[in-house]
Amino acid sequence: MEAVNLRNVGHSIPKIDGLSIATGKPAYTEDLAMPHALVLKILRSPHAFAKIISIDTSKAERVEGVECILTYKDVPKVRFTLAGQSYPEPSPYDRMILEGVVRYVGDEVAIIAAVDEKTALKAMKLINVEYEVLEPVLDFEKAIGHPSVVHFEEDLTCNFDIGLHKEQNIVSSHEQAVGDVEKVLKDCEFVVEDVYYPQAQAHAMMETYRSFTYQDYMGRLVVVSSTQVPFHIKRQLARALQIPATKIRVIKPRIGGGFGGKQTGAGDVFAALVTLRTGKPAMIIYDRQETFSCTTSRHAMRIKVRLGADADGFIRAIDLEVLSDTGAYGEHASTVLSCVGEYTLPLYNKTKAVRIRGNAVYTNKMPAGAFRGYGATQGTFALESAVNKLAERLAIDPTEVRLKNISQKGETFLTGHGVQLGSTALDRCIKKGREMIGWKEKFPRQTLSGTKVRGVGMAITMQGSGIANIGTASAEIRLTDDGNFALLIGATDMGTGCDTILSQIAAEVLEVPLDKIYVSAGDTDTSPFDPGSYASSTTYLAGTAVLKAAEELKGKILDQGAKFLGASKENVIFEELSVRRIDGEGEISLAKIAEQTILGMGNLQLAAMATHGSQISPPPYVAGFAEVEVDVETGKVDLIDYVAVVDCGTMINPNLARIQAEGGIVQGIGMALFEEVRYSNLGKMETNTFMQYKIPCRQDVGNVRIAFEESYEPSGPFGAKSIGEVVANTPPPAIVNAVYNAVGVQVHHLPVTAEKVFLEMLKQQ
Amino acid sequence: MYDIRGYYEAETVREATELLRANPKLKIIAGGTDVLVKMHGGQLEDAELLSIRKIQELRDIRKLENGTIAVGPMATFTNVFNDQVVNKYVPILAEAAISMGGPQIRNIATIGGNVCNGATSADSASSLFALNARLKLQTFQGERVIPIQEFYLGPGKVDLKPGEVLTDILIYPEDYQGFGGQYIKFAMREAMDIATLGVAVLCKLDSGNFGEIRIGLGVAGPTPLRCVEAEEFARGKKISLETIGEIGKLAVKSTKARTSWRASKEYREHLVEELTQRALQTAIVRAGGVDFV
Ligand SMILES: Cc1cc2nc3c(=O)[nH]c(=O)nc-3n(C[C@H](O)[C@H](O)[C@H](O)COP(=O)(O)OP(=O)(O)OC[C@H]3O[C@@H](n4cnc5c(N)ncnc54)[C@H](O)[C@@H]3O)c2cc1C
Repeated sequence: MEAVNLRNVGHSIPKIDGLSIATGKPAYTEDLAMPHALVLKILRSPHAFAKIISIDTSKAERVEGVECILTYKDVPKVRFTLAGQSYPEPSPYDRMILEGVVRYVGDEVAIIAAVDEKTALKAMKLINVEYEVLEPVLDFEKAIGHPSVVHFEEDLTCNFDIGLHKEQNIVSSHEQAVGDVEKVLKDCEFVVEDVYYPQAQAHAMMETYRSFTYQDYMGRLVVVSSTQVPFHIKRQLARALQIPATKIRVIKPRIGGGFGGKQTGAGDVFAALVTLRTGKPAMIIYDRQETFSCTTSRHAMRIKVRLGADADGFIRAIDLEVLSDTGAYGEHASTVLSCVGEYTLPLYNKTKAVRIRGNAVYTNKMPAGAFRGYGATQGTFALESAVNKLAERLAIDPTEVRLKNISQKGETFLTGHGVQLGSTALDRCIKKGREMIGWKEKFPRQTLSGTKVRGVGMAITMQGSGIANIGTASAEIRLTDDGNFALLIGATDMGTGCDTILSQIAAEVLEVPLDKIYVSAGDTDTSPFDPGSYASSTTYLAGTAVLKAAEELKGKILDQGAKFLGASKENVIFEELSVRRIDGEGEISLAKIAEQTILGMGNLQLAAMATHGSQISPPPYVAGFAEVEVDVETGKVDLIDYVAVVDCGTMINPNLARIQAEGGIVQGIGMALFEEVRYSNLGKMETNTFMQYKIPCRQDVGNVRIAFEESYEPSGPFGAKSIGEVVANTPPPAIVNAVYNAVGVQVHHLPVTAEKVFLEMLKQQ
Repeated sequence: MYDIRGYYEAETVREATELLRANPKLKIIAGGTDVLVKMHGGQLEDAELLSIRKIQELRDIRKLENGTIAVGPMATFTNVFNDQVVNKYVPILAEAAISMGGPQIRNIATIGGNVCNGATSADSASSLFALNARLKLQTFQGERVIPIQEFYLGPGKVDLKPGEVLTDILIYPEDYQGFGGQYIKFAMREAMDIATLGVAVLCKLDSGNFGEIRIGLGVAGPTPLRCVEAEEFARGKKISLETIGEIGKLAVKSTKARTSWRASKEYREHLVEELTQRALQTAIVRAGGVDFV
């Protein structure tokens, strides 16, 4: 469908749930929990790696108000993964609900359920655990071949070969190569080689992880969870608890942010287990410390890059070697690893050979998991930093190096299996961005005074839109008895606004005002299947499913209307909420059609359901430009200006696209300048509060300016691609590059702190 | 979780001191931004709290007849920042106030709480050290006035005797009249952050020479401190970039910086040297002297 003369799509319609949320209506998991639900607390391991010799819960159980205390002796002996991925999950089944081995500081030891929090905490202190402490693996660069093996158990399994070598602490190894990289590199006039360390980052969403469970009158387990993936949670619980999936219903209410974190299960299994054991409602709320230190973070990585270019500045070879720290459990280990190349190598297609290889390793730290950007963020930091270095070596402006080398519409790229690029406005994004930032005047640096120097830097990035050949989404639309439309979706709005944009798409196709549509989403009993909101899928896949369902339903309405009017379908049109004969000889309103079909003699409720998957995952793009001011006496970096120009295809809702972009850029700025998940030398997380873990505040992000250069993606709904993740990727390389251009300091380990910059400057003097 | 065993409210200083005499275990709560955080973190259990929020007289900021500035301990950082007396006579304290936390915290956190909490990072402390502030401490029986330097005993430890309430922060005329000054907070973030280093410098000129300078530092040791050696060196010296550089170097000598997650010792020392000079240069200009920048 073309994006012209549209009434809903392309308009900045306010989020349909915005006002309710802003005015504090009960919308979130905790708001919906029953007041008498049992309160859960988790006793967690103080050791990075240990075996439990004994647990004595007898004293704790005697505390009045304690309902039950569960340990590894009380759980099914089956391994599963918390990763919310389509079945068969590519993450190893390497954890149990509770186990006699603990693998990181914060790993679960016992579940305490009591009448209130105070009682649960009191009981927790009375549990006596004896540990045999083992030597932990903490440095991920020393994990392979470490004398300690994080997962030595026999019953760890994978659904298919992901290159697991658990005796070596390798959870997954990956290699993809096209052409002979070594040979091409040898022939290149210019070769750049460098190592980059993108750090672990915390999601830091507003609403911490939480889950509320109860059994309905049929004995089914109902789980109300702050999750991005209700259907995956259902499957996960069925396996972990060894109960039939038909016995489980997962409901997703409003979500206070996820950023990928809630694509991995957290407390659901514990609450569910307690409800099954006691028959009583139970609620678990992770506090901020648990959210920081007992869930997941972004995978920290070491990425070695080699880049070769010929004398004309064409990039001919790219070689990435990745080591990824997946922590104690392998959630998303193999896929984040492969995405490092998946979402970077296609950027440049003048290449003759490209390769990515690497390992994801187990360590005794909090697991890493899905995080907005999903490997692309880390890969972009490494590749784009290297491209900036190459540009310097080539003595070509970095924007020109990109323009020369990027893939264009209709072209293919080495790792793309011959698929042609359906849409890109990246060249326009680069040109517009450099104009907005004032690149020509400012590159590379301006000296303001004896102590202040400004520099500019840039980077480009891509992501996917859904997962090709795996991701699907279903949607159903019904004409209701009152002449309105029920839109049923499994897509999970987590503050992103997908309930709004999917309604816009439905309204557009059905040619009805938005307020005639209401959304019912995120309930595994009633919603059609959707893997959930991740992998930048929702607009592209769920959007198309909605579009298809709406088209089908519209056809049915016309058919039915024509029938009532005694005309053929070709001789009626839909106009002003009525089906009308072209010859003007009669019309029937939508309300009447609804009434007649459902209540009258029609005996047929009009509804349509569609499922959509895609064989391709068209990339959205961003060109990011940073201007920083460095204080040469202290090394302090102030971000002055950040320009991001985005190609997300057609914007279904420009305002919502803009806030996605702004939020993503700020999250990227946090990664570039402030945020880092750090551990003590005993493996205890040090950054488990917002005091230690710094996310940027409003005054730290300077001027964030977003612009759009729309392209038209033929395979997307109204030409749309994704936007949610791609926007997080450019700040680390662009800002690092700007600092380099200002003061000549190349930071390899994120984040860029004042101290690092200053000490490097000292070394250079 | 807040484990509050009891809660009392005093409406006058007298009532507060009486309650404290009757129950010396009472924990004073002012804005609560330190007390409640500690309770939440389990560092303060089973607390019985004595609120002094209703004692109106403790909120006032005024200039006494003898020129002494008296800052009520219950003045919030927003009060301090907006106060005319502060801005006119001790602007370095207003600079400290606005650097603290964010708007919400500044609206509730008090300057007295900041001092009594005893943190080396307290944003008001460096300025109060430079201003030679005195603290008036009252008990049921009487009161004492001591220099702020003597109040700070160690990290989180202050010389607050059982039964005592801080009732005034006093700045004498000879400690602010004729001085120019600046407070620089160096932190990782522009707001909502604890200082990596706090530097307060006051400077009085004496016809082209340094008359008197005062350097107060936060997070350069276990308590806020003064750089006595540098201050003495400066007295009577000609104002030049060279002298300023030397003062910066000497300032480091008074510090007992250590490596923490916020910064290494080396870097902190470098910041002391650099930022002392910076603040001093501004202080000179504000005292009516030459502008080196
Ligand atoms: C989010 C956040 C950000 C913060 N940012 C900063 C910052 O940037 N800079 C900074 O310096 N601090 C900061 N703090 C710490 C804190 O806000 C300050 O130390 C504040 O000034 C404490 O004042 P209060 O009134 O809240 O004290 P309270 O918490 O009520 O009390 C603090 C201590 O002082 C005692 N006390 C209070 N008043 C008296 C009195 N009159 N007599 C005797 N004892 C008394 C109390 O018993 C307690 O021991 C921050 C705190 C939070 C939560």
